[in-house]
Amino acid sequence: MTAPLSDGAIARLREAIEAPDLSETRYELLRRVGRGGMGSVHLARDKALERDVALKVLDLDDAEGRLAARLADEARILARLEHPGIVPVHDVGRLPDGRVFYAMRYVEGRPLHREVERLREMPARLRLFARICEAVAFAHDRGVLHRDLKPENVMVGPFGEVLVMDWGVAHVVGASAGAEIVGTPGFMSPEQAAGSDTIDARSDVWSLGKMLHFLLPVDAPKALRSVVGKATASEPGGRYAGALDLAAEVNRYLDGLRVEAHPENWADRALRLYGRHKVAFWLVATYLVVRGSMLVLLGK
Amino acid sequence: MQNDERDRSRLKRGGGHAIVSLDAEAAEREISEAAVPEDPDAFFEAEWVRSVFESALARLRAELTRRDRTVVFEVFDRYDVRGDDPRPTYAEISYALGIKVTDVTNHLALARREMRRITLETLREMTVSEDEFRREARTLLGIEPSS
Repeated sequence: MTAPLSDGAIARLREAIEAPDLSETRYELLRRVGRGGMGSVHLARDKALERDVALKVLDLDDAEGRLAARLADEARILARLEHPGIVPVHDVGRLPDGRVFYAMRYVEGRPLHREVERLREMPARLRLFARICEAVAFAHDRGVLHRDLKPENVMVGPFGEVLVMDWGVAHVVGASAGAEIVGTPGFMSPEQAAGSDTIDARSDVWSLGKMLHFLLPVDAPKALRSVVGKATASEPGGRYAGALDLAAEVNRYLDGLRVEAHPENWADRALRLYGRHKVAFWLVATYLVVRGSMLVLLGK
Repeated sequence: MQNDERDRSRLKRGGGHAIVSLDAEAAEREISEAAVPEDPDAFFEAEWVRSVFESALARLRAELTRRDRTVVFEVFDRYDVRGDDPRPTYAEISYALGIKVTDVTNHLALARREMRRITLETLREMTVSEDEFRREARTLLGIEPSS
């Protein structure tokens, strides 16, 4: 009778069967960098182009190669997205064990959900969010929807650059897995959750609204909460028409201007104007106090 | 009710096995002597994973022996199964088995690929539905099943 497997052996076997076998590919495995809901992510070396890439290996087996073919089609569409904030898929293939992988540029950075711990100031978070919206708007302009926008799919580089990843992958993988609904609960629009096949850019706007909500503190100003409310309206017609409109609204808030989603009363308006012209307000106030004091003193 | 019946029938929960009577005294003694795990669920899961891997490993050995590829299993066994710290290097394994280092790499890749296939096959046989299979496969690969 053989001895039972040790815990160390179990750990090694788990690692061994999960590690991608790249022996018949142009890639060389360097190390595993993470794991997501669909599969694992590895840092690999592209031996042909002599550069590092992020290799995503999906858990799904693809014996007939249909998933790989669909992902390759998608990658061709995404290759048209030349934008500094977009990381498109640039290679797709199948491992000898039937699993599908795709390669993307390796981004050294932190996913947004971790980066927020470092970004304490709200304006910094809002500026970053506006850049995410701009990247998404660029893709929308070229007819590409993301369909799985969430903080985990946004990387923030060492110089604060924003990179939106995993374009178009979710719906291809979901369709191949036989899933009717593709996306991440909590970041998926109601129409996407209902399995509608007629979703448009406003579905991504909904996800962006949820992302903005994620970035805001619990005591966020009412104006920003209204922006989230409008972006995540249950009916697509009640939302911002596009990601750029959402970015413009956030930028209006940052500039101290009135946001369209938030009807102001006089107190809100006064507070906003005070926030925008704080220095001028205090200069005038100081002048008036000094002038008043002088008049009182001279009057005596 | 239907779920209870299904759970009872799962191989993981002992389904499909005959229940035999126990010597009460011996059983009491064994229970009192056995180490009580702090988290019974985690302990149960760990033992389940161990049993799946042990079964898959036995099948891998049998299959590679049948195909006259015992050396492939030997490389896998030395590196991934018995490779406790310090793990042997590819060079050490190649020297011990009298094969080239590149053969060690190739044998390891083949054995891992087969181990993955056989493990998933074993798991499929041990589960009663596609959902359960996917859930257990995720657990086996170290991922928490999504709720």
